[in-house]
Amino acid sequence: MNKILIIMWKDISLLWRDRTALILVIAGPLALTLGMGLVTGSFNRSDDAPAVSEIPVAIVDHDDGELAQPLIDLFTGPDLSDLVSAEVWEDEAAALEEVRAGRVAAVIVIPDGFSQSFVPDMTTGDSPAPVALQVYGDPGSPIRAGIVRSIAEEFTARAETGVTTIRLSLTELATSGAVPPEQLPDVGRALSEGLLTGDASTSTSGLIRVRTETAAAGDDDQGFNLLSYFAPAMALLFLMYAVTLGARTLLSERREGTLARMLAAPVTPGQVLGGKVAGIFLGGFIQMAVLILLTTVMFRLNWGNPLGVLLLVAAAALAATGWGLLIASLSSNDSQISAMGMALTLIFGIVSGSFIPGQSFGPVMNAAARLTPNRWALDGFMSLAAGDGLAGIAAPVAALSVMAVVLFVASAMLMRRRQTDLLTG
Amino acid sequence: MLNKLIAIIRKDLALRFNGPTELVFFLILPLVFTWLVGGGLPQEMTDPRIVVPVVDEDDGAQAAAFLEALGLSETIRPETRSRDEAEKQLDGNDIGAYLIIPAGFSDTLTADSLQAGDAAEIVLRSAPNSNIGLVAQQEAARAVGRIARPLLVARESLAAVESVHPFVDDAARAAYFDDTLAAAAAEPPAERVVFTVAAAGQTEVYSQRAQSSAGQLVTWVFIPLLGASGLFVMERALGTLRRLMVTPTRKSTFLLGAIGGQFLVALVQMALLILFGIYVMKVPWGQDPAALAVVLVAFGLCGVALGTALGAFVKTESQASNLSIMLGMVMALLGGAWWPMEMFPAGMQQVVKVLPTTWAMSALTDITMRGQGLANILPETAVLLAFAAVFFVVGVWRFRFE
Repeated sequence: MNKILIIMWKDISLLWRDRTALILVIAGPLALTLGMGLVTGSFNRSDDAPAVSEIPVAIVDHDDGELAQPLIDLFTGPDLSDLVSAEVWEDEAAALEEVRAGRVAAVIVIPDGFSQSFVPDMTTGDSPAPVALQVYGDPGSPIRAGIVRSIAEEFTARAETGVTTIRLSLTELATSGAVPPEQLPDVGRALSEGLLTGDASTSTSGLIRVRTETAAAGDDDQGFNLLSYFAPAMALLFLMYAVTLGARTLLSERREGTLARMLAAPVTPGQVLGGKVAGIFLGGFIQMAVLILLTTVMFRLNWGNPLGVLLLVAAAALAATGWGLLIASLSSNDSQISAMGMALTLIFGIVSGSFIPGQSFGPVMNAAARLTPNRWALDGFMSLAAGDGLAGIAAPVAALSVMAVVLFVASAMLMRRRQTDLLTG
Repeated sequence: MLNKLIAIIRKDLALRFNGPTELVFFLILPLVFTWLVGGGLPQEMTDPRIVVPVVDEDDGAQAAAFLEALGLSETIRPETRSRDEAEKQLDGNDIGAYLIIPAGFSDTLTADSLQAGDAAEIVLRSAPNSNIGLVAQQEAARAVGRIARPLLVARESLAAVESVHPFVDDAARAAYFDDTLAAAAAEPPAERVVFTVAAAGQTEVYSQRAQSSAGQLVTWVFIPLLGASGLFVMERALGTLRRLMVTPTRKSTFLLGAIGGQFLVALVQMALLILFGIYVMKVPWGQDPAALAVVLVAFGLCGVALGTALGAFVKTESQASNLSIMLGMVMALLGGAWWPMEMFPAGMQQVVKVLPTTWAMSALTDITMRGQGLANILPETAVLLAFAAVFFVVGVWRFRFE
């Protein structure tokens, strides 16, 4: 056992003396977490601030009618000032050029006759032919253009509802004889005030509200910090790379002849391999632990239950070590390990949702993600960050442990077949 | 001189492609990533809408109407699930959001409840790290608009008529409500908003395939171009640069050959990725070939110039390799290669303009999504060339042959 520990400690010392490798496995995830935090605004976003804000919108008014100004007021007024940054443009062609170039997310053109097309004949209740708002969206800003479209649709739906209401009401009042025909226009005008532009109570959203809840957020007073997702995602991405670096020493030591020298000492091949494997595991474990400590201090992240974090880090490092061993057992030189390791690191990163959360990947990709230690560990870290206890990480820890056992057995079988070759070259 | 250039380029290509592993990074991984990130799996190709589960705890007529209205969405695909199942999927990061139609939803939308001023509710639960929640919220609001309109008309019309002429009794009120509701429901709402994508030859509101094709091209071409620094370091470490200098080869010829070789390889890689984009991902790359060629040349020059500049500073191959991966990934990420730039905070969108990847992505998005031509991508091209000039000056000035 002592010999295994000595070999393990030697590998750890070598790894931590390699400054460029250290920079990559520690500074890399920190830099990417920082980048993700900046990209998503995690450092300065308050809980009630919209995820998308200050959407640039250009409005061109060819109508100048009763509904045009309320629409402009809606987009330029204080209610939407956080969400939308709208300006009125005179020149439609210039405004369209702005959206085509991606400088504004959407252009709303209010055509001539738009307002008038909502005003029914106050005697018959009949409506003129509809004149539609034209909304031009930037295909490079789908969400922002979609939000502008939704606001415009909500506005016109309110007015459209008002028109239908007035028409049906006038019809009822006329057919029931409650209002003489000559008074219908006055009644219609009275009804139209408020019904066309209306307040929130006369909108569809006043009737059926869409209430949003953020999962895992709001469970504590501080709400969810997006960095709680990206920090473990990036740490796990580079954990895979770190174990690859460790696994590479298996073959680089063979190339340099130091493995053969070790075997000349009174140690068994099993002890040498055991020491190397323990070194890979401990290297990954320490890397994750250092990153967790650094992100806790630098980004004030709450990783959750410390015992749970410890268990999850150990399980993730074990499963990642299994992958590292499998790569080593399949490679014939250290440059192959580097290439396969980097490829696997990146594939696992993308499939598990480290760069783009995998919720839109579909069932096949989600199933594939379950083969990666990143995904299981990420689920566990998310549970812990949401305040779950040890029970919340039972499934991820179990899955990672099973993954480690399967990979260790597979690697052992492959290595046994070529043990002499692996150790002595 | 030409022969020497060709010889240097051949030597660098032989060094770089001396094993099959380089092909993994040159072509295989970029293609796999483009395909996966672009939603290339068969199911996503036939129905690319994002799955948003719906938990129907009401099971009433209005809930069914809401589900039907939601099914008309062009961006999300509602699928009914149990609450436990949906919550588990959300917890497991398998979905970005799900909707709940609470029990009593339909009951709240009856005549009595509506007149009492009660409001019904749809609950949207979304993951904190997902923009799918935003999309689902928009689509739920649109579906709500479709089913609420007749109800709103019936309620408001009842109030309007009653304000002028009260009904004789409750039965008459109820009958009027029902009649108006039926009349409003039978009448399809007029189209009052026409949404158009402001791009020549484009019909899609947004193309994840185009974002993926452009973003992965920027990522996977940029990293090896930065990695060109490793070639300089290796030759310096092995002393082959010194040996080369005793031959009748000028330093400028060597640099031109070394840089030109990497640049040509990058052009070939970009051409292959674009062909994959056109024929497999169906991305409209070919709308303006001249504009595309100009941007790709400028981007390639910028990348290889940065690689040259790095090569002047890094000391070991390992440093060069690690730095190129880290810098390349971070610059691609912040340049909008992985996420659409619109998701960045407004201030951040300005800050990232100091990165060449931002300008490259902007130009490639202009071409693929906005259908822009040569005139429109000239500003981005000019910035990329300016970056290239600065990096080349720094790289050549600080270049060490020993």
